[in-house]
Order: sequence, then structure tokens, then C-alpha cells
Amino acid sequence: MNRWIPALFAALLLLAGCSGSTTRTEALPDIYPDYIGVTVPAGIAPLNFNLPEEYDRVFVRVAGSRGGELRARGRWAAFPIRKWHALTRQNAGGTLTVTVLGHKDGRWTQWQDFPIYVSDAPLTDYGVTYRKIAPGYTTYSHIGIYQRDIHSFVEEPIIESTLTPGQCMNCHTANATDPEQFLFHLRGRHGATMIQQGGAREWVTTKTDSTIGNVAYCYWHPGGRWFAGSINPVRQSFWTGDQRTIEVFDLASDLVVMDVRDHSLVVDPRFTTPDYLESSPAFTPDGRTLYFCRAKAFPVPQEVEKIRYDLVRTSFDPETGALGDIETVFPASREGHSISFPRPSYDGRWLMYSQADFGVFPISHEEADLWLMDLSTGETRPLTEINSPVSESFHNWSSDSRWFLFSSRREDGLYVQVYIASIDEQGRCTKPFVLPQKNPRKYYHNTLYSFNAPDFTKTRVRFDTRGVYRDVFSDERIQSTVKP
Amino acid sequence: MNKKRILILAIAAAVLLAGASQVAFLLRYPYFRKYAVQNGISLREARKAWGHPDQLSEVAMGLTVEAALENWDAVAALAAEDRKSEIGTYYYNLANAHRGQLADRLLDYYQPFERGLFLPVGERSTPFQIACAGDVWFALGDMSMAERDAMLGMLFSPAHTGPRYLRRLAETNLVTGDYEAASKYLRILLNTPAERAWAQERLPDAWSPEYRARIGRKRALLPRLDVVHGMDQTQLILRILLHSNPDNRMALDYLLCYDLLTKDLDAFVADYDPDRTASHLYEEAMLIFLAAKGGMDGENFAHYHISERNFNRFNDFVRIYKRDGGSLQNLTEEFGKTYWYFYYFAKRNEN
Repeated sequence: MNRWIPALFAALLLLAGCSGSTTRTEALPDIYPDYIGVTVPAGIAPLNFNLPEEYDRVFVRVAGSRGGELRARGRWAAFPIRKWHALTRQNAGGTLTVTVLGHKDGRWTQWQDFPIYVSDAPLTDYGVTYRKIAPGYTTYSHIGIYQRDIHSFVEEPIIESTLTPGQCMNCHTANATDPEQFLFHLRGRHGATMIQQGGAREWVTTKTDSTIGNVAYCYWHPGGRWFAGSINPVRQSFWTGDQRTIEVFDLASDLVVMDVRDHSLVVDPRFTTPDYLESSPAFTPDGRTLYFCRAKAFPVPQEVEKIRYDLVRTSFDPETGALGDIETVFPASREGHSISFPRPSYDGRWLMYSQADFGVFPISHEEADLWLMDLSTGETRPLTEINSPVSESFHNWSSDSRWFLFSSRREDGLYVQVYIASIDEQGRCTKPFVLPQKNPRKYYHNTLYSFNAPDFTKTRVRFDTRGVYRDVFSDERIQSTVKP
Repeated sequence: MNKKRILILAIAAAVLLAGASQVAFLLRYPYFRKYAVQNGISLREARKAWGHPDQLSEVAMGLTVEAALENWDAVAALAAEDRKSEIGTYYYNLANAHRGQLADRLLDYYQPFERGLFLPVGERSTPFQIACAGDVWFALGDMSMAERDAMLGMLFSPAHTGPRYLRRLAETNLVTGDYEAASKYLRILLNTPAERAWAQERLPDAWSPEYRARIGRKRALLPRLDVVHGMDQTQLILRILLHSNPDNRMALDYLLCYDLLTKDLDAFVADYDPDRTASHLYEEAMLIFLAAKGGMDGENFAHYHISERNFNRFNDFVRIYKRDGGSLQNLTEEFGKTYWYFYYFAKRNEN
């Protein structure tokens, strides 16, 4: 039967109007984005792609190793969503073989076929959330938090700055991808931490007389009663050389834990000393351990290159909120490195983090890479199959921990995009794919925003924007207190 | 005349009136249209962004439009029409700096201290100020700051994009040699019909000898020291530019004028080398310093190239100042444009 497939395909081409001679080449097609050899979950949005601009027409056939076939033709390869879903579901655990023909100057070229692997691990989460922001710059202008259905191309705002003029919003943080409980911090004159639980929201001032500011980087305790937050008065500086431009650092930083039942803060002097900087806390799924990063403080910005964060952890008592002793897990500073954003997988198997040469903001560090720690052995390794020569950071796990996403500047070294990859039980990762778009070249080449702080969201985030303006500008806040 | 005909005539009259109004507006405010083009917005949006157009706003639009095109003669001419605005002073100074006259002509014009040299970029800045703030950094050779201000200017602009900002972002990256990042912006401009020719000429493999020379001149100004600095460390940035390229005369004059406008005479004396740049302004500042430190002697006068005329004028100024008990009344006419007058009488407007 297989020997008939090329003949059938040629006939299809004729039917499709691909008249004229066809040149075959052994090279792989130069498609954008690079989806060659990536692994995707069944039911992901179609991996539409473009050929270089000089090709005015494209004809694509996608054949499943477990059956099924899909064709697309036009200015770029765009697949119908339902048929794509059906094909990927039929081929979960199998391979899609993609045949590409491009038309230029009256001639068709057929490249070597390439595979797209469909994982047998489903990605059931609804989508991803992210901030869209000018690349690398702390700003309070046009900015927003958005959610994107990863099974289609639908993107919608959760909150945009047009709703709260002059206020900048920090990362949206859900509880282990579940938006039934989520928060974000609004910076600016009318700043507050918005906490939404079960549809009811509160605007809380988390700064107290005993703390240096409002919480910025937060992480929910799996039980839902607490969240840990680092207080980071962020500043931005600039390099004069032509290889790096921006440096983002904290003037100081401390770590606190909030009890959302009564808005009281656990402020422990061991975690708020001015001699050290604490940042990006994350609870383990059993809720008994809190990982975070910690560095010796130096004057900034002049000695910012001396600030290197170690990976540390402490025990946590979910009954009282009490924190234990600080234990160094990985003394990266001794080796001349700096760790940020430790993220334990929700199944407790792995811990992923960013590693750069110094500092706390890997997104502006070209050398920043993702590393993976096996929590059962403590062994750690760079994710060489994921990393690129430029910055990788801001990673998060899917709700079942079989997939993760991260930010990378690999496209042009400047604008950050969201990539998704799977991980198996041995910790091996597949080639990541960039978040699909309906017309990828048009979308990614024209956008002037970076996708910042992405995370998976298990279900669609519901945030009623009615009344937000009034809530923000009324300055009616719940004042947090310090636990005795 | 039936009702239908009356209706048609009324609509035609309304269209004609609207068209005439638009033409009248364009004749009166031609820079609004150019500003709209540079910002990728309609004329209506440009008018809306500004509020109530008037001659002052037309001048401000003209300054930013001509500066983006690097038409410094036009900038200087427009600045002469401005009435005491920070934007006006900023472009007046920049146009003079391009002609090597920053210091000589500094105090011929309203100077709101250092804010006339570098526009502040912060939460209290207007979108218009932010859009203009990078022009001086681009001229001085600091591409990090120029890129930052182009990026922020774009974000705060009416359409959050626009050829003016995309051009600058493309060029800052071409100067630093980051062709991947430059391509991002050139690609967008190539898809904008009015910008296609500009972008095509800047594709790295299509540079003309003239454009290659322009990039070469810009690259010669780049700092070769990689130092991190805060947003408010203007003097440090200028000193780094000078350390990398002592021939960057514009950076030197901006540094010295910054020292003088902030009345930081100790910094001025440390930064000033009379064999590298000269101006009556610098002589005037040195006279204050030498008088205060007890260095009014021939050796210092020779070293700092202080003319006898300036020395005598300074003595006259001091004499009148003391005679009138520190009053400016009898000093304004003759000394109103000297550094002595600025140093003793200029007060910051803290509002």
C-alpha cells in the first residue's frame, strides 16, 4: 500500500492546482517557526507555519503514523482546528509526517519530509497566562495580563493597564495553575495586592511598618491558606557597553508568608535581614518545605556583579505558618553562579531553576539557562536539550507536571516568546515548540511585546473587570498585619 | 426644490466645510500631520493626543519631527519660536551642540537647569518628553539609553508603535551590530509602504558608502567600558563616553554644561581641560571658582585661557553685586547672559 502513497500525493497535488514541474531537494524546509522534530500534546492548537516570504504558495500534507491525514494550502500552512485536533488525538504516541511544497517563480519545490511527534502525555490545562510588556524594561505604560487558550488561537485580556491607568501590574500567580485562587500585585500610587478566591476579590496592602514594601514574587501554599512572597523594591540600571543593555536588581529584598484568612504576615527576622537578599519562594507540593533564593547583599548598582543567589530551603508548618532553619541546597555562588526562580514540579519529582552568572533577573542575562534538579537524588544538570545561546527563564509546570513552559529570547535576542516542552520520567525533555499562532510570521514578527512571566492555567481565568477601576482608585484596602 | 435635493446639498456642504476645516488646520499646523505620520496615527488622533492645538504645540511638534529627521537648522529655527519650555530648550541645546556651539550659546536662552540638556524619564514625565528624551543619547553615542528611550517613547505614544520609534530602534541596533534585533524593526518598516525605502537602505547588505560612514561615525562614539549605571547618573555616563572616546566633543560639552547648570563647580573643574574645548562660558565659570579658591593669578589665567576682557567684566560684575547688596537689578542688562548671573541668581522651579 505504502508504494502508492507518493503517486496518490502527486495526484492530489495536481488536483490542488500545483501545476508545473516540481523540484525535489534533500534539504529540510526553512519553516517558521521551527517545528521540525518537536513534540506536541494531542489537542494543541495547530502548528501553522510559514515558508520564507519569497514563496507565494505552500502546499502541505500531514500524515499520521496511526492513521489520518490533513492538508493545507495557501500563503502559509494553516490547519483547521478540529481536524488538527482529531489527527493529533488519533496519533497520540505516534508521529506526524509533514510533506511541504513551496511555490516560487512558477516552480514548486518539495523538501525532505519532517516529523512532528505527538506525545502520549496529554496536556489538559486550558491555556497559559502571561504579561505582555516591552522587552526588559520596567514600565508603567501599556501593559496587561492575558490568557491564551492553547488548544485554539484565542487570546483575551485578564486585566489591561487601560483599566488602571498609571499602575503597573506584576505577575499573575495562580495556585498550582488553578485560577480559583490567584493574585497579582498592582504597582503605583494606588498599588495593592489583588487576591481572588472563589470569585471574590480583595485588595490588600501588604506593606506594614515591619516590612520594606509590598510583596512582588508570590507562590501559593498548596493548602490555599498561605502564600509566600518576596518583597522586592526593583530597580533598573543600564550597561554602557554594547553587549548587554539592562540590569534589573533589588535594592533590598525580604521574604514573608501571608495568611489569607486574616491577612496577617509571618515576618521572621531570619528572612528579613538587610545583610541578605531573599527572592522567588516556592512551596513543595506537600506544603512542608519552602524553596527560595538567597544572596549576600552588596551596594547596587555598582557592585551588582557580586550578587549571586544560592538555592536554599526551609521547613514550613502549615498549621502556624512557622518557618524553620535556612538550609543551603545548592551553593551556586561558590561556583560563580546565581540561581533564580526555583520551581518544584507539582508531582514533587523535579525542581527547575534559572542559572546565570549573577543577579536575580535572568531574563536580561544572555547566559541564563534552565537547570533541572532531581529532588530524589539532589543531582542537577543543565537542560542542554532546551537551552539556547541566549536567555531562558520564567519556567513553570503544567498541572500534571508532564509539560513545562519557559521564556526564551532565541528568536531575535530581544523579544521573549513562550516555549513548551514535555519531560519524561527520566527527566529527558523534548524539543520545545513556540506557542502556536494562526499566522506565526505575521504575529511574532510584528509584535512589539515580550511574553513575560508565563504560567499554565488549568481552567480559564475568570476575572470580572467591572468595578476594577473603582476598586483601584478608591484606595479602599485591607491592611495586612504582622502575626504576633 | 424637493427634500431629497436639499438633503444632498446639505451633506455636500457639510463635507466641503469639514474638508475646508481640515485644509485650514493643516495650513496652520503643518507639523501635526508630520507628527501623525511619524507616530503611525491619523491626524485626528494626533489632535486628540495633544488636546487643544495651538502655535506652541505646533512648535513642539515641529521640534520633535525635525529632530527625528536630524534637520538641525530647522530645529534651531523652531526653537527660536519657542517660549520657555523644556522641550524647546532641549532641542535648542541639541541643535547648537551639533554645530559645536552648545556652551557658547547656552545662556542666550532659557535654561531650566539640567532638564534642558537631558529630559527626565520617569513617572512624572509626559509621553511627549519620553518620546524626545533619546535624541540626545543617540547623538552622544550611548545606544543603551537611546534604545531605552525609543522603547519607552513607543510604549507611551498614542498607537504604542510608529515609524519614528521603529527607525531609532533599528538604528541603535545597527550601530551596536545587533543585526538580529535590528532586523526585527526593519522587517516591520519594510511592510509599511511609506517606510520601505528607508528600511531597504538600512538592510545590512544594502548599505551605501554614505550610510556605512554614518554607522562608522556612530560606532566610534560607543562606550568601550562596560559599566552599570542608574538612570540618574548622567555625569557618569558622559564620563564613560569620554573615557572611551576623548574626541567626543559633544559629550565633553554636555558634561561641562551639565556641571555648570547644576552649579557643581568642583565637578566642572575636574572635568574641564582648557586645551580640549573652549568657550567664554567656561572662562566665566573658572573665574568664580578661582575667586572662591584664591587662585586669581596670571598662571591660572594663562592655563585656563581666561581673557583680560572676561577678567575685567567679572570684576565689574562683582563690584556691582557687592555695591547693590546682591541685587540683580543693575546686572541683568549687561550680565544677564553670563554664567555669573546664572550662578548667583538662577533658582530652581520646584513645581
